[in-house]
Amino acid sequence: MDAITSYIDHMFRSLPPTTEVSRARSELLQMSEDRYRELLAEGVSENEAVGRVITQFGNLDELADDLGIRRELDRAGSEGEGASVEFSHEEAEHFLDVRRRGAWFISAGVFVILLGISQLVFFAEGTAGVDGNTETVPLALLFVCIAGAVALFIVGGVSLSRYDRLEHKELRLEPQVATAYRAQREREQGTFVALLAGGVALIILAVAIPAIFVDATSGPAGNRAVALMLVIIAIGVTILIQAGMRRGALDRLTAEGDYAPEKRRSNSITGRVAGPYWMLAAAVFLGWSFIGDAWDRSWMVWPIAGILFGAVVVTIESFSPDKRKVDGGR
Amino acid sequence: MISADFIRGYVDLLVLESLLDEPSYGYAISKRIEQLAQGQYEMKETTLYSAVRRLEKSGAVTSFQGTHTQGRARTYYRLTDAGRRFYDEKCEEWRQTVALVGRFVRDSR
Repeated sequence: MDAITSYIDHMFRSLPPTTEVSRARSELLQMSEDRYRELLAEGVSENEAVGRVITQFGNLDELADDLGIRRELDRAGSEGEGASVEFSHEEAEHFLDVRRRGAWFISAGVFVILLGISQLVFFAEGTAGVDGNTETVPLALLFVCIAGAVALFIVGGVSLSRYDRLEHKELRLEPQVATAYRAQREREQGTFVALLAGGVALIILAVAIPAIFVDATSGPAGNRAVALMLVIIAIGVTILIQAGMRRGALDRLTAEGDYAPEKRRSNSITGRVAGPYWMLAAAVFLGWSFIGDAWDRSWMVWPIAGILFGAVVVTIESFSPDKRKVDGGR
Repeated sequence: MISADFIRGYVDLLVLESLLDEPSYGYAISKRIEQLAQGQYEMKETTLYSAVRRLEKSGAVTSFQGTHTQGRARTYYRLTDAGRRFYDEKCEEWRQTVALVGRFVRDSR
């Protein structure tokens, strides 16, 4: 009997757990069980009975359209081995390690860009650039920072893309390992929310700094306020990237029920977005400052970019992870 | 052995026939078909389930949870009036098919 159950389980295991599919599974299992019992009652040997039941089982392809699983079946077929990959405990740990390192590289990249901008603003004299004379050294330093950030983004991006081949597959972990990661994800839930809230709060507080010194924004004190704001934004952003990417990696490991590839892709999105996002912000800032000769106003790019980034991360994190629970109950 | 391809268009008829007299469940339907087929045709479980589910969706049969004589729960399927009409239509279609193809079949003597 076990042989038949595991045969049917194997046939169904890459399919989404909809009510239609689970109904088909239990009906087919029931039919096969009945046939098996009857064959045994007729005096057929166990092996022979299992063989005959399996021969008569048929092919799930016939059910594909009725069950609404055509897409999943075709995908499983086209990928040969199937839409899922065995993942050992060591591999899972390694995966988390690689993701953690990727998160550090990317958040360090963003941090370096913001630091570069910060020192540029800090060393700008008076109402910087009104006479078109921005200091050469801080500017050069900024470009060094940007170059360093690009290097960090590339290294981080490579470490993220190492698992790209698994992107559209389901990772299959041993049950107890999967349970352990699910428990870990639950345990880290509080920290995760705290980090997310803390990161966003830091950014908002940072934005308030120049506002407090608003009457002074034109003097060196104003510059220092803006520079401080940038450093604090950088810390907030680093926290958001770290929290988001950690969460994304754990989601990836625990997301067994998450079958739709569009949903799976949302994992680690925070990490992928962060680099280009802050590079773009730097480009807008520099473009506006140089072309528009707006050094006195262009710092506004940063509070806007910071809060927007917070909004993006919070949105990603509140929509991607637990959606499957809603779908699964269908 | 008659090929499954040939029977394909009449799987519904075979299944409906098994339900004409009384409601029945998966394996019992399968056995009924097996008996009448006398070894000339074997319906796969997936073919049977797919037909039953399709017939249920189109309203030809309804399902309910029943208890087997040995006390085990089974999903039973019962023919509806629409299902009976559909069965008659399929029978009529078959007679016409036989008549049509028959006009092309020459006695080989």
